[in-house]
Amino acid sequence: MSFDRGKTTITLINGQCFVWNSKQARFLREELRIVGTLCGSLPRAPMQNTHLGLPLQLMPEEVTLLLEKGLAEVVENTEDVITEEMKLEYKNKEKKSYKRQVELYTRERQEEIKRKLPQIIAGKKAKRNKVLDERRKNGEIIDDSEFEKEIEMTVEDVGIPTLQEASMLMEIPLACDPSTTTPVLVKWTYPKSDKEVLRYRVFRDLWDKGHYLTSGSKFGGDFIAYPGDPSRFHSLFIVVCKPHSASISGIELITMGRLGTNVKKTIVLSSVDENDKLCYTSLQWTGIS
Amino acid sequence: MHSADELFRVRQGLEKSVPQKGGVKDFMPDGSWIQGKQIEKFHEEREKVLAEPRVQKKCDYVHGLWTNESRLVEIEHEGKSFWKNMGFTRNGRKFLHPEEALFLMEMNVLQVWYNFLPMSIEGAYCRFLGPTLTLEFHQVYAHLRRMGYVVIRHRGKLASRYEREIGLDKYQKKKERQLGDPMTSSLLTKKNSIEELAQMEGLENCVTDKMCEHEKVAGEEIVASENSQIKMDCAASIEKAHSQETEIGGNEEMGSSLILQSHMNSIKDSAECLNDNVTSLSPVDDNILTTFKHSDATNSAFSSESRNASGFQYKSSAWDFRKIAFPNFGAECGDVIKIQRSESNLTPGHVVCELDCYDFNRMAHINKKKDKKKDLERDRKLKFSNNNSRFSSYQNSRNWSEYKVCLYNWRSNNWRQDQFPHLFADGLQPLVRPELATSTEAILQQLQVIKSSTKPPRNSKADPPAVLPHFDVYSPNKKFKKTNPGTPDFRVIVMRLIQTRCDESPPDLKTISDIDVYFDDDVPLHCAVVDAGTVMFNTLSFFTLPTEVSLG
Repeated sequence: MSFDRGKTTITLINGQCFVWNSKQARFLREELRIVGTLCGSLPRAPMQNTHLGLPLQLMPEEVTLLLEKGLAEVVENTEDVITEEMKLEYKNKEKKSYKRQVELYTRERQEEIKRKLPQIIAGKKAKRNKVLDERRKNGEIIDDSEFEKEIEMTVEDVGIPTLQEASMLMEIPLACDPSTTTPVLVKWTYPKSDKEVLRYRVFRDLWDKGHYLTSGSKFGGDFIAYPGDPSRFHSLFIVVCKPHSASISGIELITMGRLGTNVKKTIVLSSVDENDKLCYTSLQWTGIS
Repeated sequence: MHSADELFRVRQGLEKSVPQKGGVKDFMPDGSWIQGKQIEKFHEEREKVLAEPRVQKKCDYVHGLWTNESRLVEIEHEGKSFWKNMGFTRNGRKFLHPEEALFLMEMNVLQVWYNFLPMSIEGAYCRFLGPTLTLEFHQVYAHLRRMGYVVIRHRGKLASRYEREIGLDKYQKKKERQLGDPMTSSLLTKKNSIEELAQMEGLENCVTDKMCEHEKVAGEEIVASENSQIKMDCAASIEKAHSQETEIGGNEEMGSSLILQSHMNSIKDSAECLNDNVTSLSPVDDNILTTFKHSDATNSAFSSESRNASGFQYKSSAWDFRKIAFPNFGAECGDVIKIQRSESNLTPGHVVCELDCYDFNRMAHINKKKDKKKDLERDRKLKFSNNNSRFSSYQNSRNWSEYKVCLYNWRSNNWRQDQFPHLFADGLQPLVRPELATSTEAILQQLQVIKSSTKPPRNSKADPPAVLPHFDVYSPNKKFKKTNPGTPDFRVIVMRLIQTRCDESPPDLKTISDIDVYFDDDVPLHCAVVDAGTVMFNTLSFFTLPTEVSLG
């Protein structure tokens, strides 16, 4: 995996960018302040929507930033032609896994039996005594000492059934098998239009200033800015990107002001002025009273 | 791929706990050690949880095969859990849609194979996502499924309002079922249209075949439906009689006389049917009068529209309701309504209409139930209201409309227009005019500055809207049947939010009202907005604001 080279691998699928490795996802968030959005099911609890799992979906601005900093590469997975060799290799892998699982399974059962040996012996004794009881009831004369006889058993005496091939453990892998797919570097062309360029400029500037930025559609803005990791801190700003010369209607101002007040965040109107400098204006609604 | 050891270890200590989300958050980073430690711990746990593999016993996995051409996953043996709500059968084979397959893979239930090798989830994303399945579509699907809903790709309008009212939607006809089938709706419409063209050219064989088929279907329906006996027979018998008159001689195969007899038996009701169920006959339309196509040119009531733009096949009606003049029983033209005999004989075969014109006396049929005590009480209260001058007008009128007219006349005559000249002199005038302030409701109406748009009337014959919903969603239900799901609990349109582009916008009022008019049921429409992995649901529905009106 390219992670060994120190670069994050971003897969481009159908126009969207994904990261499939949890170590890389952590690195992006912890070291690089790139948050992204998890959009898959979590393996250990798949039927809920609060905690999602990999893949991590990245915003196009985040991808451009990583590429500019030389910290990632965008690839597309191309399928190799499947040869008989590959099929054979997979079958071998499966067989090997099965053999190893049989060993592990047997070993585990042995450990379990060793731990529970006294209970097994007690159980066997009780069973034998029951049988003797029955025989006594039928008229046979049995000595009391028969009941007290100990049963000698060792771990090997208990039979362990072999693990069936059908019961062997298999997995649905998350990422593509590197032996059957070849990642191909892809040209990344974001940002293109004026709006996109503006968005990226704002994103980059805020990121440089140390903020954590995520998609702002939940709050009706372009980005949401956190002072620290989103897991630990509330966000402070809703960033709205507007072209410098654009006019804002009264209703729009009221909408933004009201929204910000209700969610206890400051609306930051961001734009790039004539001197190519970024300027930010924060909006606060003071109310009527 | 993980080694066997790792798989084993995972299987042993299978933890079901979900990592904690949220909790108490801080406001500003204060650089403290404890904060840093908490964040570090969070990341460690997160990495561990995200890296867990999906492990299952080989026998517990459902085996699926992906084919690029059909873009579907085929399975041989369905699992215990999901087949009730997902997938479909075609030609005896079981298939799953790509979004369903991807969801099941993430649930660790299905293993998809392609080229004799198992597919990873990333591989599935690469292969399944494409023009037929966008990422947003899948994300909305997965979101709803994870919440527990049963989500199906939209199947179109399955039953009209009338069919639902008479309970006919429980018995979906085979052809409609096929149409509703997600696989055929796209693959077979072309084939069907060619068939239809051939029929419409008036091949007699077709007509006779279709008539037989219709009888069979009609027979089934009569057997099947309980409450709709009379109405169904009515409709079918009218048709039968009609066909009898026009297709003279051509059809010895008018079919089993048995069915015809049963129609004839209920023909006594049919005259009443016509009169009583005037309005209900109009929705007895495309769906019930099935593939019965007249090739007869003399039949002026032939409806030509049988297909629409989206390719859904509707059975054409043998009746053109634009040309049939139904008498208007609600007309306010006195007590007696004259009914003319129509040129096209719509009465069943052996019923002969001798009169050219029939006088229908409405008064004879009017509801003569006595007034309820409540209404009498209300009238009494009004009688003794303050305004004495109204007393005379009250005494002179026979009903409320007359009284209101009386009152209005009295007011406009007695009111002095020059009472508030200073108010009404300028351009800026009050909204309420004193002479029109007859009641609270009237005042409120005059004060209404923002005009509420009226919801368009529902029309079951409307064309399908340009934008159709993407999903039909049902609450989890033990009685859910894939082949006959019934009316969904809500429908979802998926919309991608790209803030830098304006090409995709939420459905506008016209689209929403078109959809509301077309489906003609109270199923809410949700708009799922997807932006960079987050899904948000919005509902756009019609409702009328209540106006508080008190007596006065």
